[in-house]
Amino acid sequence: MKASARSLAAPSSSEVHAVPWVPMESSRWSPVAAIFGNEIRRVTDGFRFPAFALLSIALMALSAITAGARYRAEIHEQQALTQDYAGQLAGLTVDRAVEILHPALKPPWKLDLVVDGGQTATPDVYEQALSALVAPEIRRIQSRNYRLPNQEPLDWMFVIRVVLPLAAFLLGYDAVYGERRDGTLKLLFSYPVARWKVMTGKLLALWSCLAAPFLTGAALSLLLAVGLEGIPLQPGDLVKAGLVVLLGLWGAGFFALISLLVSSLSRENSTSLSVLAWLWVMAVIVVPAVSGLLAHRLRPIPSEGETALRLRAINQQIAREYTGREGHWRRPEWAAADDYAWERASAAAENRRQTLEEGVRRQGLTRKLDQVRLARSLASISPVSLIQELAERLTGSGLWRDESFLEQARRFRSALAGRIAELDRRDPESPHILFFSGYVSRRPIGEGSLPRFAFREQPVRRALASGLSALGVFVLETAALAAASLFIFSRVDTGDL
Amino acid sequence: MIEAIDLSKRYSNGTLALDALNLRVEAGEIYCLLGVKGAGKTTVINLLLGFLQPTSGTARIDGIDVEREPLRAKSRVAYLADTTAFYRRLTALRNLDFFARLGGRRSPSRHECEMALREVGLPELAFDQRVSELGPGGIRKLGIAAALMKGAPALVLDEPLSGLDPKAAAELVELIEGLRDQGKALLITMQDLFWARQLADRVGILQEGRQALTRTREELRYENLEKLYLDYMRGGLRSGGGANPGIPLEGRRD
Repeated sequence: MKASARSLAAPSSSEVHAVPWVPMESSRWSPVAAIFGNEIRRVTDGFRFPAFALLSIALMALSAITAGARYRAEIHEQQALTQDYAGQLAGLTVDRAVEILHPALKPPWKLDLVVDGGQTATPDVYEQALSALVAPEIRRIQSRNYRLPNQEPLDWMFVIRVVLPLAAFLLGYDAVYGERRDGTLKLLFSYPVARWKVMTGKLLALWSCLAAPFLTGAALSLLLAVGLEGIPLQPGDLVKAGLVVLLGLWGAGFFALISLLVSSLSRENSTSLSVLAWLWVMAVIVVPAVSGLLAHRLRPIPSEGETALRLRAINQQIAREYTGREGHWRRPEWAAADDYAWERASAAAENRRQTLEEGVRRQGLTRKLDQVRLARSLASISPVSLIQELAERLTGSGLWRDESFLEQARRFRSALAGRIAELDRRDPESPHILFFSGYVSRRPIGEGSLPRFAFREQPVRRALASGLSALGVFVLETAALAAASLFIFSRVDTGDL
Repeated sequence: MIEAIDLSKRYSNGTLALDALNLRVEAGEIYCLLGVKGAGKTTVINLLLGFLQPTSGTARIDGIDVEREPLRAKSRVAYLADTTAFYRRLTALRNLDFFARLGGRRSPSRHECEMALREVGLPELAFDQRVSELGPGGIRKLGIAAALMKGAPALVLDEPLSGLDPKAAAELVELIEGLRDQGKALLITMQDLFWARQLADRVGILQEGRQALTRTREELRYENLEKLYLDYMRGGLRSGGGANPGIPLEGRRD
């Protein structure tokens, strides 16, 4: 032992007793930083990390490209329908306006690359006529080949729900167990570092390794979407995308915690990996699928047959109530003789029929939405489903966008009806039998005098408010998981006890 | 410096792993704790490092109760494991840097780390080699370097010479003696009686969790350690798990 070693070594025994021994240059966070750096090296050493990073970035870039292509196609098809409608409006009379279908269009979802939320599959046009004799239509206008398999949308949420937990589990399954196996855990714990600091260092490192590719992918995705694909993202859209990024980072921390917890509990590498694989399959595949099946059983939607039966029953009800007077329509000039007595009775019957049928249709839609809501609630026991729901709420996508669309479309019909009624009232020659072609004003409608449908996306503030309850649940889940992880980690043995 | 006072440990399954151990290792002293596998040596280390809570008794490092103030106690003891307890994929320097930071150094310089590695006689070429490429001797030297960097006044070494060839063992023994000369208190568990005789200022034998015997270097000049050890081991076997009734256990002396 050379003399120089004394400069590195502790004071001699006599010095130790003379002066209280203090650790050298210790600081509160430097052990956390050391463990963080060491864990980063452990995680990034090997094939696992580059494979995950490449996959995340590639998928997120792909999300921008596919969303861009879809956005352009949808814009094109909706423009065609809008032009067709504009053509119908040219020289339109009040009489004609009551029987044409007025489309309410749900515009293409600009944040499809972030959270698809079913927006590329759910109806995007609600066509309604004012006449009770013309049935409304809710449909999707985009052309689609149904022989192609129904593919999972490649949005950021796919990365957050599927890839991030998988990566967290693959990168972290041996974070604690591996150290115990190699004997480094005992050496690590022999140093004067609190367990929570060791766990914090490991957690931050694992989280960083998940967050860095995700953030890179998100930035690249946005750049491609705006720069290359030309999706016109507004500041509000970017704020919503930012909220999803924050959610993804939070999710990464959550999955990293699960990984550390399982690794701390496991006595073998294979156990750790198997448990995490089981959790992944349950959370990502089984729970959402079973929730859908359960919701289908617990809250069934009316079948087409049931709906047809109810509509037939309505017809019979109308026939009973109006004793066969519901279908008498004469030529207007003949009907004027008795002030449209039969026609007014028929109109009342048809309007009544329309109200009842609309009730059946609304109930069918409401039950469909309720079924989805129940499936979501059941699935939210899986953190990935909860994150999906949160993302949809925070961006105003998914179920909430569909409901909002239906509501706005109905309001549009009311506005349209109000306007047509007003125009009709101005015409003294009109028999004012609303809204039946031939029995309302035949005057032309001035250009631009009819209201046009313009869908309003959910503003950021309302989106945040609607996500509060789910956010609260996720906060509680994260806190419980962190407490459990800390509790377990503080009791981790070094492997030879 | 390193103290065990009536230290006992009974596991939850009822096994009494350590029964009222009393030992004290002074500064500048090497205490070798001998015993077969399962005698309780690892339990002693785990209790001294605060990995286990004692059922009764007290473990102290530099006067600090390990159970009450584990972090303060850990700052005063360095531990050298029997197996490869370093990150195999990292280089020797990286490992040393990491453990120096854990020991309280905010930013140890490469120069400091290199000095410590030179001090323990690790070849310069090995500094930037991964630990997986170092031999067992190199790894133990790295362990000593880490202990030096930690600067703790007490050291606990778990089977430091196991698996080493005679040359590497001799080099490590020289290093350990150097640490003693610096005034460190060293508690070493081992099974090698030859090296125990060479190194130890005092020797203790653990037998099924009990302190069977303690001898000073001076006393061992007149006694055959190998014979004593074998007698205790055979006694343990003959008595079917208990101590040899013919040889008094230290715990029974009073």
